[in-house]
Amino acid sequence: MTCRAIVCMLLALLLIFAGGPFSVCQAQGGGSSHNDNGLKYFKKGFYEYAPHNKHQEANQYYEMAAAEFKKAIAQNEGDAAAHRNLARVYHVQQKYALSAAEYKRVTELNPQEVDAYVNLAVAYTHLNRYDEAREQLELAKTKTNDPVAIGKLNGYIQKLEGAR
Amino acid sequence: MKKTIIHTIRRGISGKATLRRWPLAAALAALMLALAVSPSVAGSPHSAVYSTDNNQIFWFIHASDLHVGTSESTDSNNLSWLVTTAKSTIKPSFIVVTGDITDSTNGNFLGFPNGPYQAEWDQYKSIVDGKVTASDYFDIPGNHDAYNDQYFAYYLTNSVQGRAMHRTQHSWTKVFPFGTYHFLGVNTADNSGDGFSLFWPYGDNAGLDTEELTFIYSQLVANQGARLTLAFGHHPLAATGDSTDTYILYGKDPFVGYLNTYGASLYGYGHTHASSESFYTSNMTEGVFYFNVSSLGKDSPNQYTLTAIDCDGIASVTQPVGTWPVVLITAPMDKNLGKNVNPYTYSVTNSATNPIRALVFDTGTVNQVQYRIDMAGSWYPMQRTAGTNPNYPHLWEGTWNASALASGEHTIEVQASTASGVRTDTVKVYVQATQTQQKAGVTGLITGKYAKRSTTLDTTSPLYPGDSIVFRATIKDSSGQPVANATASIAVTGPTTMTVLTGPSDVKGISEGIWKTSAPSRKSTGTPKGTYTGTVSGVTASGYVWDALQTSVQFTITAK
Repeated sequence: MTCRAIVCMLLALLLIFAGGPFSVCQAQGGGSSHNDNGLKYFKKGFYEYAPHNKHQEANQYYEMAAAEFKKAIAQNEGDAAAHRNLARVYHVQQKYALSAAEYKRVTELNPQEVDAYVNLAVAYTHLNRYDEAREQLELAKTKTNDPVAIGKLNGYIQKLEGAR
Repeated sequence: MKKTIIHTIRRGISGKATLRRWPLAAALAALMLALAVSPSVAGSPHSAVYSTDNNQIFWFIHASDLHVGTSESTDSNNLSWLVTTAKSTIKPSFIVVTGDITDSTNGNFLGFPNGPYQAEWDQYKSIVDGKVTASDYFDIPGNHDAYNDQYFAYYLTNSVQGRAMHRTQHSWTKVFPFGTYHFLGVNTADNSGDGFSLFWPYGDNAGLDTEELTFIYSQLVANQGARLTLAFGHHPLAATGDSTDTYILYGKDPFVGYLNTYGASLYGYGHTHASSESFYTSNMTEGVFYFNVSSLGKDSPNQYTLTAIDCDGIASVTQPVGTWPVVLITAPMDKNLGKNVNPYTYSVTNSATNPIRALVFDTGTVNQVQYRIDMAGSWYPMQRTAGTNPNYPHLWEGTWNASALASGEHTIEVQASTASGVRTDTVKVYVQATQTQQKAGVTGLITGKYAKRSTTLDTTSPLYPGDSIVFRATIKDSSGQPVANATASIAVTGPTTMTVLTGPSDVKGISEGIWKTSAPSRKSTGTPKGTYTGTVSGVTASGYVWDALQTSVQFTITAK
């Protein structure tokens, strides 16, 4: 078998697996198998059980997902995707303090990720920590020049003020 | 940079799901197969007729952007009103909801859509279940139903249509004694499962992929016999001018091509939280009605649209939730619906018996319905058609004597007075004043030739090749009076054929034309000898139409 044939086979296999069930998740786990496993568990719970109000089963998978994401972080503390995924799992579980901590870490690892600041602010609002929520939204404004994004951030700040 | 990385798993049978994993070529092959089907036009947007028939009408409600779960909104109350009070009072053939069923915020007061939330879907189901069915309520997904849910797991598990049909796109027909009508609900929402973002396209990469287009195409092909085809989706087809409004970013051209090829009449959508009636023509032969309905649940004025099809003519009125009465003129069509003189409007003549029909709905008693012309003058009463048309107790009609009107644009205004108040609807029509055209025809037709050096017609001498054969027609109107300045065309058949045009008739209605025949010569055998027939094939005169009487004369060309 020639080298070229081997390369072709590998490409074919890659294409086959690219069409597999996990190609849709667009995971950014830096290649961590724990991150991939975490996504698999999360999706099982979030898309197979939660829409049927099977919360207990869903939560079991969320716990398994969180454990996998934590392992991914233990392997690489700078894995922003794993922190983001863990934040999402905690959010879905309504563990807002834990979610906030993970989103906070995402903003530290990816300071330009404006949407992470908003997710963090949302978590703070669930904890009635409005000052910190506003602080994050103001910080987000400094990370972009996009007028639409700044307009939306101002809108959020306005709603935050109205809620206090 | 990609931010949200937790997405969905595959669920469901069609719509967004089944084929995506297969190579694109498979889907393209399916599309090619579908394209191989002979594309005869499905809908007939030009089929609208202005008729006295009052039993070829149905109506439906278009609502959008329910946003169940929005903080501090009336979303649930409005939806509840729609599926109870509005449904029982208006009795639509169906209700179509064009997306953003849920808000995906679960009431977080920032309004940041980071769902999906089952709690919102539970709330939705608690409102609609038992009030509507999958045959009278068509809920299709929007971008708020797609955030973080690439394969629409929550939509498929919880929406009325998702639960019933296990797909994200829907095609349905309504069959009436007067015809079948086809409706399409397309899923324009993002297929990526991205979460909401503050940056364009805001986690909403809206569009129609190959699989979705294949479904749309197959349904258009399967319903080619429908009288009209109306399509609905969440997103506008093109940019609205507001940079925060997403629109169909991929798949638009083939979709518009299908709408064009299969004669769709209308594309209804939501998303913008604004209402408008316009006409979409880009890359289309004539275009489609392009109706945008505002948000029922989230933003004031919380409107819905009532659309009626009356003798295939489309009529529409948009009204805020909870307001009565609802008044909709269904005939004649509004010539300016969608655009200034839309191409699907029929003509209105200045008949003395023009029908005016209007639907009137109210939770209370309807006391009076009346119409007037050009926003002034007397009101004329309209009657409920219940006596002659028991199926339509909400349909009112009047007879409009338009015979005194000059050609031009006129406004019809219908006013309903009910227990809830007074409301009017108006349409603009172009009245074509038709002249009563008299008929004219040839009452006498003879042949002959002029006597030598005179214009006296000799009708007895034999006709030879080389003679100038004169056709003398007497043209009169239907009352027997001669018609001056009229011409006739006479088709000559026999051994050879030709057409003779006569000159203008004189005051006696006499008009003559000449056929100059050829004598035999060394180069030619001349005009063939034999028996010929001259038959009138037309008469032209200003203010007259031909009476179609094919007066004829027989003559013979003989050898010298």
